[in-house]
Amino acid sequence: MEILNVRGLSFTYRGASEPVLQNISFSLAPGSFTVLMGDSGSGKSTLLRLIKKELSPEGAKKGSLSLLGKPMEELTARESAFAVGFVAQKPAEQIVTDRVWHELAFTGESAGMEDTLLRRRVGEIASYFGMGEWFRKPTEILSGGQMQLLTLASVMGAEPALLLLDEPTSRLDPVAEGEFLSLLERLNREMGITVLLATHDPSRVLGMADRLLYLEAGTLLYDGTPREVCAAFPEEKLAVLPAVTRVWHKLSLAGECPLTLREGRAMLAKAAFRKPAETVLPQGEPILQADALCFRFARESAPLCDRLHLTLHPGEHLAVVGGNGSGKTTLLRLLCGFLKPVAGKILFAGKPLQKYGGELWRHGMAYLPQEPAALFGEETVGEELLLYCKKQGIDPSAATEMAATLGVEHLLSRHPLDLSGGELQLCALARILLQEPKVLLLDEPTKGVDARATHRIEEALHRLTEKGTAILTVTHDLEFASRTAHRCGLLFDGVLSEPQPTERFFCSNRFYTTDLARMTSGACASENTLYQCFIGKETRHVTL
Amino acid sequence: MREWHPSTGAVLLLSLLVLSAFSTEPFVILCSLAGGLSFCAMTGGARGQLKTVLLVVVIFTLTNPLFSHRGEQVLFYLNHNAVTLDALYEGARIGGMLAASLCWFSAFGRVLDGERIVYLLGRPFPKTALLISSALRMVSLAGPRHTAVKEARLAAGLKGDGALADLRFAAGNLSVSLGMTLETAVESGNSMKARGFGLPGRTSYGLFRFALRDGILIGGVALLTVLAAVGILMTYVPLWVCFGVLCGIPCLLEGREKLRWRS
Repeated sequence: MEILNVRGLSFTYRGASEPVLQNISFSLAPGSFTVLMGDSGSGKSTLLRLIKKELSPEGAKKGSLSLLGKPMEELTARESAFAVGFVAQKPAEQIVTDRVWHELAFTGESAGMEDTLLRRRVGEIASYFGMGEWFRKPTEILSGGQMQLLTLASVMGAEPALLLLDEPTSRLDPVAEGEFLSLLERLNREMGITVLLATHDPSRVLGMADRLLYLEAGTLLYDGTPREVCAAFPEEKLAVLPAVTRVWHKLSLAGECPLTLREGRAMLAKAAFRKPAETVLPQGEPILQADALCFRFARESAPLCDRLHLTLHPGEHLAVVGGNGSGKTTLLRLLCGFLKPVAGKILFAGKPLQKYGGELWRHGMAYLPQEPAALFGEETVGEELLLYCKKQGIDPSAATEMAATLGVEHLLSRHPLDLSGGELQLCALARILLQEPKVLLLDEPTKGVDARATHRIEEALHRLTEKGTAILTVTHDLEFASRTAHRCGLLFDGVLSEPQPTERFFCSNRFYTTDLARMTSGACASENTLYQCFIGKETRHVTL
Repeated sequence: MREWHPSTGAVLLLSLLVLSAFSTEPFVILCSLAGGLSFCAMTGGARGQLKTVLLVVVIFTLTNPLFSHRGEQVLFYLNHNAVTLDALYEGARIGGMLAASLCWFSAFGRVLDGERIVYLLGRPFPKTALLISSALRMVSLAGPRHTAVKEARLAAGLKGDGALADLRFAAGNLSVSLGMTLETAVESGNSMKARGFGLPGRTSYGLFRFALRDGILIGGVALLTVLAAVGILMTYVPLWVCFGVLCGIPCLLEGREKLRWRS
């Protein structure tokens, strides 16, 4: 019997004229692992929420949905609540209680498990997920990755047959992502739990999946094994595939379409590469300098900056990479003057930071926060942009022009909180670029952003550096850094390793590096370089 | 006393707190102070507690004669008012009573941390406990979020000059972070619904388990409390022993744990 059967499903939100889903049909076999792909706005979330009765949006539904052989409408509240587990995108918002143990017991409590069973189940799950150590801890000290694991663990309390995951790792760093996915794979392999996972970054999951669904504008465009679908992907949509697969396509390599890093390494094992050209670094008088910067939150706590040095030149994009909690955001807050360093100095345009008296933004420093929603207080994006223009006496047409440059003019009349992660990020960028910054500080600009929007952010940043704006990005998105930055440095234990030209940085890194650098054993770090430097023999023809 | 069920600790310490707060008998005060201070010494930070006790006793001893002039033994006159030995003694007793109560209050805080108190309040009202728990969660998220909003808007040049602009800026920050909080509240609500919240027959998981020994101890404590209360109210001296025993129990329990865990 199928776990889930969807037949001719169409859905239109109440008040909307166009359907978000059209004529979707598929079914899931017990124990299968299915990846659901598609850009933001393609209807992934809507589809998942329609399968989970409690979260179903309001609107007109056509077609049929049946779960465990029963039509959706006939399921009891108890069945739909506990047979289907749901994990959403944002880690912090799904945790509702203040203690780990309480969160872990939440689903079992709802199911009305009696004390001894509840205790045993909670104990089992805590052991299986390796949560023994933080069982009694407050939830506020958990990292994003730990929070997502906790949500997954809590959902497992009621033994669901089907797990729905809506971009569960898009806001996690690569290490936490790997940990989460390997646990998910274990649940699927060892306990036979059916998994339907929506994602816009499939590089780590395709190797685990036995099925790939691809949604585009509400229709199910592709449905098949990951290898079939990836091999059949058309040229213009390749951006959404993992780098491994894209390289196979673009270089028209022989053999089966690779899905995992292991297969990618095998694919390129015999390939030869020219030495990549050195990145041309912008020169000139540094615009931003940090010298022997020291910072820690309390006397006893670990240093987040320990005699840290940093220079940023006009027209340069410097990426600071590092794991969770390495102090990346703290570094930006120091450079913005929000935190006072314990020792050391920061020079902006040759003058110490304190001399600007908290008015840095007037002198060309702009900051894109990790949660760009913080920048929007007005009803619409457009009003927010106009508000700034009015305040600073800028011509209002600057707002529309800026929006057009970043390709967000169609979003000006929308409410900021209704936008997708990528759209909001671009709108926030449009807003702070009105300040005509000389230095732009970006905090995780690609967090939760799909491939297409990431590409547009990259283009925008590239244009800015061409015009001489200096950019400092802190990120754990290594692929993004490898494509856009001039130099990269690793922040660890309060020290920023001497920033290297990007290509050299990732090629010489062994553990903390891009997939491509791993596949080519450090010959090329980014795709463009790879295509330029590839001189392998196994090609049929090379399209550059 | 953390090896016992929270309700055991709560019953014992509340009994001591209440009994101490209602008696100015020197015997009761001395027993109470001895028990309370030694308990504080065992759980760390006795010096601070001793300072508080001395301070309270000295202040009441010295100030009581200013308000009360009763008594035979006049020591001297201050502004034509008699300062009597009796008034000094009475002040010392009131101070002692308060200090003893403070000691037990501090002991209560040492044994029952936030988690234990929420547990105790939540036992009869699991929904309230969940509410408190999620409220605490919201509060812990709100602070950092507000800082982030403030900094983001500051860097974006949304703060004008002058006091009025400052006010407008602060109001703007609040409204944005409230908006973000509401947004997260919707998600949290969804997460609760998705996990079957609201279905009938909800049970609740407790970290602590009530054992037979807790029942026995609570019974004993209740009996002693009643006897001591009767003794104190009726001034029936032989029953005061019960209060003395009661004062010793916290130290006894703590001492046993200390012995077990000594390195």
